[in-house]
Amino acid sequence: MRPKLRNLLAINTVKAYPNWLHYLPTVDSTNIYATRLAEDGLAHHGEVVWALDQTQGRGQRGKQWDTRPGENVMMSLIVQPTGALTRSPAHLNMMVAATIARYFEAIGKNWTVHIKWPNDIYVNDKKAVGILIENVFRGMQWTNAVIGIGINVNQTNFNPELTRATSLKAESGKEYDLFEIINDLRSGLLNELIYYKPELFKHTLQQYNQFLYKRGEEVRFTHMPDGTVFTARIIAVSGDGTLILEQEDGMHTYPFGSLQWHL
Amino acid sequence: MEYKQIQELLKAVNKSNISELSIKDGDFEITIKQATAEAPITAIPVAQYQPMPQVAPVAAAPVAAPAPAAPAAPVAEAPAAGGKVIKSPMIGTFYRSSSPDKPPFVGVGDEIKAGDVVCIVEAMKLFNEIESDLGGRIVKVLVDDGTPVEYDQPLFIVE
Repeated sequence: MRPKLRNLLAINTVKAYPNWLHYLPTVDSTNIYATRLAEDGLAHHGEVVWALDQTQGRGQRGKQWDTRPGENVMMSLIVQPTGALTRSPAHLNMMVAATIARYFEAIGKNWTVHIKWPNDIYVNDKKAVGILIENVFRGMQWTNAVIGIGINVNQTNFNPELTRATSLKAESGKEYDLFEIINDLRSGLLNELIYYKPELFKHTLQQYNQFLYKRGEEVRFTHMPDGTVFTARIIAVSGDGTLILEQEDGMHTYPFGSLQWHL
Repeated sequence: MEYKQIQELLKAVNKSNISELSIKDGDFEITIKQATAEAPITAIPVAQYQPMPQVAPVAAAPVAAPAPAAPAAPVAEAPAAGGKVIKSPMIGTFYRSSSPDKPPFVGVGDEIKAGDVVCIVEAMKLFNEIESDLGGRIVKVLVDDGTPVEYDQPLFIVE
């Protein structure tokens, strides 16, 4: 019963693991794993599940993600909903997206960084990041939020059907250290949570809207509940996370998950 | 041993009254210890960050044997008698100077006053100057240059 893990672990370059890290060569999905840890009481605020490969990686509404083992960041940060921010999933979502967008501006000086509502990050007009936040309840108590982040990092070959996919390396030509990105994002997100106050949400919302993809432009959407296709101008995202669109008959708001983009 | 089995073991131990469990299989060996007697997992203190008690080393390095029970986070050293502590206001990487070729902001024996910059904590490629919230003489630097620090971790002892 030799652990196969040993060979896979050698891929990883990190010499000393910090105590907040659950490192896995392969897992069904880091979010599923982190959720299980949380449900079993084995997870604490600030811990990260990191995997080199996912067999059931998924995005919003179960969309598949074309990823190659060891080339991309697949992480789930476990937080406890304590501060003002984490009481509202929409606020948490916006804070996470805005923090990652700011980070990308810091590491890619010439990149154009956008947030595609509700929770993808685009670099130079292509998708580089997907975010999936899931909540763990024990009885009626919201015990944890699992912030799943998938980033295309060093992958340069993509499924040709995914014309809107890119990676950090594809945009900069540089190879990145996966652990460094994970460590940076963990610090950045946890620091945001430490100092979050309700008054700060205005600022987060403003930041999110500054990064908003196709803001002021006309985009075609499918309205998921009834399948109607329509064109509308993107105005902004409101405080509750809904997308405000200008249509022929005026302004309308659309909740999370109700629209599919045509790009 | 497969990772999942280790995970199952941890759950089993966690739910039991066993305080310590050792398993040996060839050259693979694992020891799982319960942190305290009140191990039941239901109540997680909400406010503070817990540097993973016994689980992390197992999760992080499944082949390391035996799994140590000691918390890996640098335990705050008790300040010397009469000493006060400057703590890290954020998570990041600790730097003692503004760049590698510059001298440290402060060293042992230096007199500082509240508001003096004592170090830098870098997070997400942003360098944050950390000012002391107290005055006195630095008697000890608790963290090495370029190493990670957690929120509230003691950085300097000041007398």
